[in-house]
Amino acid sequence: MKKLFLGALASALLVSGIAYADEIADRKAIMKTKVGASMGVLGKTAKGEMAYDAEAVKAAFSTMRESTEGFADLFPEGTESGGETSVSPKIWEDMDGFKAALAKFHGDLDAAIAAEPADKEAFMAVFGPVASNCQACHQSYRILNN
Amino acid sequence: MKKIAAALLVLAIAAAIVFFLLTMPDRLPQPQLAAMDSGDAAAGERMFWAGGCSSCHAAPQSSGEALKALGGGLELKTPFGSFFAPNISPHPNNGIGNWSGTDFANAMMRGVSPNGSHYYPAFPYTSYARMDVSDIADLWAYMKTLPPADTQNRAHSLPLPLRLRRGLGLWKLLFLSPDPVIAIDEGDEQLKLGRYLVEGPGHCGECHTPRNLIGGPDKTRWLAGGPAPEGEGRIPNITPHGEGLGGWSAADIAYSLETGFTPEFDSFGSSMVDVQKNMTKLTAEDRDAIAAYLKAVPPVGN
Repeated sequence: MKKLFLGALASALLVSGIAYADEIADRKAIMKTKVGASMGVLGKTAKGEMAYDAEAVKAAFSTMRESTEGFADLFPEGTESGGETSVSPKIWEDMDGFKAALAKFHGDLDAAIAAEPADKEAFMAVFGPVASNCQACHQSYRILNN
Repeated sequence: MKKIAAALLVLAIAAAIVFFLLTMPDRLPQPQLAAMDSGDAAAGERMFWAGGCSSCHAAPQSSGEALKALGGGLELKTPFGSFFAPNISPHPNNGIGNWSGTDFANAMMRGVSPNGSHYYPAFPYTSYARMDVSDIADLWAYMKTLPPADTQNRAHSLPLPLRLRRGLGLWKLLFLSPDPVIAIDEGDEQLKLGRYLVEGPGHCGECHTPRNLIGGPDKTRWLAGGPAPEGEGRIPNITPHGEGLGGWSAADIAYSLETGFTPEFDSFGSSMVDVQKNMTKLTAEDRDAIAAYLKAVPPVGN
């Protein structure tokens, strides 16, 4: 009986770990390959390391906006640890705050996309607000894993 | 039996006397304190941001002018218990408004309170001990211009044995020193400034250097990161090692302090966000010096 119970428990844990591994992997991939790569284009433009390219800038803002649509759905209960995730428990303690921060990020991105900045000066005016979201979220909701 | 009991009693008294002597508060000598009356508040503001006072002593989530209201309240959760940052505004009753310059200097550089008790090293006096008294005097002049806050202090939440502050005198004998940590070329003015800012007011080592079981920093692994001494997670390695900032140039480091962005355009998080905001208040020369120092410390792996 005991072996059966332990076996069932182990299987349940294994399955739940696998079932949620996708959310953790997905959200890490989005942050790194979509948001991070787009920030590379925008940041280098801001630094003057890339010549100003209105189309590239618009594509970067759009990628950031589209890839993070529904981002909060990738943080279900059960994904607080495992998979080398870098989350703070605050995400689940304050899910409303987390979603509000995401909504602000989307608002700033929508404004940047709508503005269609034609030169670097116009770009900097809309990039600043977008970039401020990175640390604002990471300050409260991200903890480097052990 | 009586002889043994008598001998033990004598030993216990002797041990208590030794303990008492070893743990006496070690205040700054008078000649050093002469500078405390002639501080420059404008110069003190630079020390205020470099020292990161707001990050612990202003109310959590403060920004803008609220950063100058130092009513305390932040809880630092450590393996030893919780520490609550006190009110260090100029309020005469609930803050440090009735302190003298001598009181402030002894608190910052020796971790000793005006009534002679030891502060817990959650207050990073082990770093501030490496500062020049003239900078402490400037900071004191600036602190007195800030608004008084009336928030009442909250007692730390510590297990009984750790509530004996006297014992910290022993801890200080091991871990409190005004000497620089890393040897550098003393002729290089930029490195000297960087070392001063990082090892002194910046107190970077307090988070970025791993600690031993009794909370003392392991200076052989200076800035190599490890488990967070307060809160959760880990603190990154900021030595030039491959596991640290090996791939970063000095310009990358200075840029990250100015903007919060890494060379891959990842962004700082957790406690480092407040630190980075303080770094924006320093000059580019200061940030460049910090970067030069971080490129010069010994590379140490985790």
